[in-house]
Amino acid sequence: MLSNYLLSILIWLPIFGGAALLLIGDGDDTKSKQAALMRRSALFVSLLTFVISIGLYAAFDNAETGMQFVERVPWVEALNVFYYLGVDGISAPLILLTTFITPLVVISGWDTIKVRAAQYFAAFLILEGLMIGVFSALDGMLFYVFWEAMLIPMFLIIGVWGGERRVYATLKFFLYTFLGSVLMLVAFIYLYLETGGWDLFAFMNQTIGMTAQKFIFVAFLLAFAVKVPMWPVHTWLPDAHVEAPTGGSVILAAIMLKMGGYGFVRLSLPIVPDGSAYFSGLMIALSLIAVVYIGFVALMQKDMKKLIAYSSIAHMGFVTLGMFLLWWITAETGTGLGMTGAMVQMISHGLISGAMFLCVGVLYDRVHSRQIADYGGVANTMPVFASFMVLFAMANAGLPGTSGFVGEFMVIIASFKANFWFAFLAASTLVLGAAYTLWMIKRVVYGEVANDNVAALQDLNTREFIVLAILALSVLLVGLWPAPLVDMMNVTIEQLVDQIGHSKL
Amino acid sequence: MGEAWHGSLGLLTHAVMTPVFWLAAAGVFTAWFLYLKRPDIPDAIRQKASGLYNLLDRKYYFDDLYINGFAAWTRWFGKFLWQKGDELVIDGVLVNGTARSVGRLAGVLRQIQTGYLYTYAFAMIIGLTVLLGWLIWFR
Repeated sequence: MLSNYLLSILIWLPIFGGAALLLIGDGDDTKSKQAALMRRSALFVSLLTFVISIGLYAAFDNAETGMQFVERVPWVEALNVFYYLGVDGISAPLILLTTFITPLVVISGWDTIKVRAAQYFAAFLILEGLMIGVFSALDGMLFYVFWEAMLIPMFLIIGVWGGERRVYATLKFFLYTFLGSVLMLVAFIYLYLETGGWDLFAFMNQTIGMTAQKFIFVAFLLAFAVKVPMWPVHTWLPDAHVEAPTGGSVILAAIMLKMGGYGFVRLSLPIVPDGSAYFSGLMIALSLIAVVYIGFVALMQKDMKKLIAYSSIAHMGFVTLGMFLLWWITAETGTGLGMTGAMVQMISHGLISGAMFLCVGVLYDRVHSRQIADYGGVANTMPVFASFMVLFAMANAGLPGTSGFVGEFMVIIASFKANFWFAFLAASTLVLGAAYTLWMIKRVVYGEVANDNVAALQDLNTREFIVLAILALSVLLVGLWPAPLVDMMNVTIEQLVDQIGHSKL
Repeated sequence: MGEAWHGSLGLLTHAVMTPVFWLAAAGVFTAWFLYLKRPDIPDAIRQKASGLYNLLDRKYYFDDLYINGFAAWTRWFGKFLWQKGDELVIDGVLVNGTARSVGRLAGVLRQIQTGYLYTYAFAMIIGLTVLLGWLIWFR
């Protein structure tokens, strides 16, 4: 019964919960009883959503090739728009990542948000619902609505609770992403005129000429490349991350960047396979530039958040690399390996980058600086925190046994099958990644206590410990035993690879 | 292994016969002799053959090559890509440059928007004249 509406519940429960928080408010006093109640309600709603999403995991059938938990009712009949939801092995893990990260973000903002606390938590809950909506929408119009609506809470999170240059960062973030997604809408309208509806599966089955495929691919590319973000449309990300509050950075890195990768898998590849094949060389080139160029840039960052933001761009380069290797692998088997690696990398990066931003947040809450130069010898005063940060840094550098290794390793193997030089450049990220991550760790965590601020540091409180410990466990779990995750994706990815292999001309 | 040597004693005696063992032993002996027995000899060597001494003392300059060569070059290149590539070209020229151009164009165009009714009425009359003229003579 209820399971027929599972996706709707996952989408609308946090949205309505957030709206309620927004309406009640905290009476402009974050220390009031009402504000405390709002915090608890936000945590309750996000935890409830997570528990329900575990139900989604439990009921998910790994062997099913089609969509699961499908809901389909007419929405705007005149335009043939449907409220059409469903998940498969690609979207379900991302939904689980979303419901898993959001409660952690709520806990991490518990007493660090000093103004408009209720509104802050409301924005995150609404954002959570909208992101789950993007991952489960199977109707083009519905997808677009969720996709654009998602910008609004994020815009507010950076613009209201952000740092000094928040207005610049917010506008840059908004204009960049909006410009791209409007072109996606143009592609959707073209496909609507061709098929007479917005059904993504109708888009996938439609025959499309080569010229049209190229145009549609470029339109999708601009929308998704900005979100991923791919070089050279990545410059909004470091600014947005630096200015965003910790929770905003976590959601941005952990989930919103995955929207771009998800868009490529869900829309670009199956709807315009020939266009994707035509541009696959360009995509691989841009991904490799992202991996190498951004690795060098990350090395020289003086701001910890900027460094992690650049490292995110480099890691997301692996995702797009894995996805577009398909046409370059001539071997009979293992063509889907790059795709699986890309998907695992998305989940893993969600956990690791989220954790890294939370670590910076812990330091920022105490010292109010993100500059590497303001720290040094943190391990002497915060040993527990230092252990966590070093673990996440190792995972970020792709240490075997952590989740960071699994996806990168799969993508590197796949690129070896395609071309030695792809693999050579891709593997250089392991060196660069270790260099920029460990150099930052060396300057921040190790060495002598650098100044009075560091000497006065208090180690993690219970709230922070719980959040980081949960993330550390999940990073190790995915690293040591990725099978449950990979099993969830396998059937869908096999089917996707098969579908992409057939020309639609 | 067991087939090549006759018992563990055979293996041990064989090890003592190889040049590697004697070279290693010679190294131990030289170090003991130079630094414990006659410390004046290394000093003399340092004064007589300072080039060779430094080469060995600085580990064939490998650390200097890594630190001042590879690492310094990597940092320089990273700084170049960041400040010239990202900040100057992509963000400065392309992104904010586009924003500035749009702003400049808007600055020019807004000169037309004077707010005076007679300017708009004049523009309307001119437009109407051009439109009518085009309709009459060219259609």
